[in-house]
Amino acid sequence: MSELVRFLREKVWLLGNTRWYARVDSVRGELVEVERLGYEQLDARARAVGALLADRTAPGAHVMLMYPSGLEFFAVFLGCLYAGRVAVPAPLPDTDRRALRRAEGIIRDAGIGLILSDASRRPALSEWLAGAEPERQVECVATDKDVPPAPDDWSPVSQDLSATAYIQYTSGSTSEPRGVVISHRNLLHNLLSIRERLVPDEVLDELRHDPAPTGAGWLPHYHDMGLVGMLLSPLASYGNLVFCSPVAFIAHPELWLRMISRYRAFYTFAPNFGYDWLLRSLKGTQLTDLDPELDLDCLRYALSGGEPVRADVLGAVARRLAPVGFRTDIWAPGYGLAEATLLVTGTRCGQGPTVGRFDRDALEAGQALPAPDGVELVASGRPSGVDVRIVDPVTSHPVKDGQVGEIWVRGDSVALGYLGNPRATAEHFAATTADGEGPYLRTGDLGFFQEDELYVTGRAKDLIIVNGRNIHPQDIERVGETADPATGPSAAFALPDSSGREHIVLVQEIRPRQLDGRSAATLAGLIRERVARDLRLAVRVVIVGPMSVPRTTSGKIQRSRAREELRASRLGALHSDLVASDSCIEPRQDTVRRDA
Amino acid sequence: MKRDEILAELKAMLAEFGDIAPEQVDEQTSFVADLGLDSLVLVRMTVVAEERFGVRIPDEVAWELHTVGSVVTYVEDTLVGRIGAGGE
Repeated sequence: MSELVRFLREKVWLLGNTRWYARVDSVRGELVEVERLGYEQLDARARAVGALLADRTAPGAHVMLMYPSGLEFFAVFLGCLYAGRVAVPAPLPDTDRRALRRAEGIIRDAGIGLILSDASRRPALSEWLAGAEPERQVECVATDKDVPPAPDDWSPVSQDLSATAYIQYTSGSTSEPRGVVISHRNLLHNLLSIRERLVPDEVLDELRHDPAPTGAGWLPHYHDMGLVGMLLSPLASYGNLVFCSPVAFIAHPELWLRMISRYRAFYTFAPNFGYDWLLRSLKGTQLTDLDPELDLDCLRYALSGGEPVRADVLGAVARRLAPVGFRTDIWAPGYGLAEATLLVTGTRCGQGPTVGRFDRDALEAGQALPAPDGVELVASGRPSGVDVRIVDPVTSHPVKDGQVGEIWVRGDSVALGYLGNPRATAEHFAATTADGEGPYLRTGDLGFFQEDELYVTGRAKDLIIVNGRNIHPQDIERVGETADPATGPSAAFALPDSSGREHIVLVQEIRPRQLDGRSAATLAGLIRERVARDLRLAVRVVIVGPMSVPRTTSGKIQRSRAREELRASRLGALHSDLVASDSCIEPRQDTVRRDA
Repeated sequence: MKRDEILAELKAMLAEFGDIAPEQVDEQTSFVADLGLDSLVLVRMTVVAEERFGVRIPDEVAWELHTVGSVVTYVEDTLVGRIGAGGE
């Protein structure tokens, strides 16, 4: 077995079933535990699946995992590691309408011949496969029924640390899935970094002894943060985990608090939107009405990562939950991405968050100048086991502390590259600084260092993130451009309103001769409906004349310039869904003609 | 459950989970294009609607229910179908 598999199974041998994973759900407003496996039971399930895979697939085969949230997924994922088969986790269509279309792309991209699922999903998946991939033989097998235990003499396959462990598909646009190839070495290194950099020794000692503290979460297992941070970390760190499905959390946000309280959870984790959603859904609810015994005093670590961490959300959540024992010094902001397995920088347990104020104009000019009345930024902590540099994205010169540049990362957590895509791999994974150091991973994110802590200030890429959904602007633009004969090129981007919440704006060019007497407002309504229908997104449409969306000299749409011109009211809109109060538009409304 | 009762319950849910005033809502209202509801509110509404109306709303169906009226019709048809089939 590989060093990674030995590292994980060591915990099984040491701790047996004294440590466990449990999943809960909300049933008529009550928290109910629906399944639980001890480490040893989990290991037995993983061995059964491992033996099955060793029997039915070739070494190194890519196996797609399509499971609902639950322990079966985790056992099967471990089984793939044990067998030396490459797991490819993918979402089921209940969390993302485009999941099946994405899955078709992944099947082609990763050369999938076998899909593993559970008995409840297998019939629908087989039916879909028959329709979607007639030219390719893809089998779908349910693992939760009729998989016999592994023979006693079956043991995990021997593998080198350089072997591929799994493929993490990230937010490539719907038409072009992008699979990050994670090796056994990458995963082992990142799990060790999480354990050693985020958890101080004295806390780790506590974790080794009964009663072991517990983590609580609800993240999807097909994302890096759900897979590595939520599911794998407890096993690597001698802990327990209680979790619910993402849908259960979104439908019953208070379930998160009940989990923490009931299981006396020591730590929890989520992207900013999760904390914000909890806050929004609690509204005026009296916390003790939810559960008179609700008590978060046990919680000592609350990680916020995976998307920009907002100071106002940290503050508001801490204030809202203070009466039930939430302390503001347990906040632990972090930064990471699938291309670096997961964690890149993090905040140590007990340290508390660092929030700085910086001059807004200087920041836009690339300088972090502390200013008492400036914009609040939350530091994402210190590098955890990797080398992190801030580099001028144009000249590739490393910049000084306090200067904004692109975040570059090097170390054993950095993935091998994108599956079957040498061009994108070379572009993102093989960067060299002007002074010849490398190779570095170019994250595409912008940030700066101050007093050894990383502040993430934005994205160099045009990716739009709304409620944890990564949305590629080109997916929205395609809908706009094909909505009507009168619609031409367009640019989609996110724009924050005065409260900081981001809205999606689509600046859409029209071909006036194709309008046939319809108003620009009518066309905007039609586009809104199409985007709502196809992507389930609410967008605000700004209609402009032909050739009004900024382009490069080669004719490529410039989204960030379109955004700046809109904010400066220089676009000459024929119609705009934006109103002055809900956007950061500068007060030169005279040039924006509203015909609605 | 009658059509107007289902509509009233949906309006109450929109007020509770989306902060939408009931008088802004009729059967033609579209959840995303008109009310601008985000995906989190929609997922929450779908799950709570299943619990309150006692019907199953499969995801592939939920994705196609764009307007308030289409939800009312789906819930009504499903409840009638169940009674016709002799209950659950």
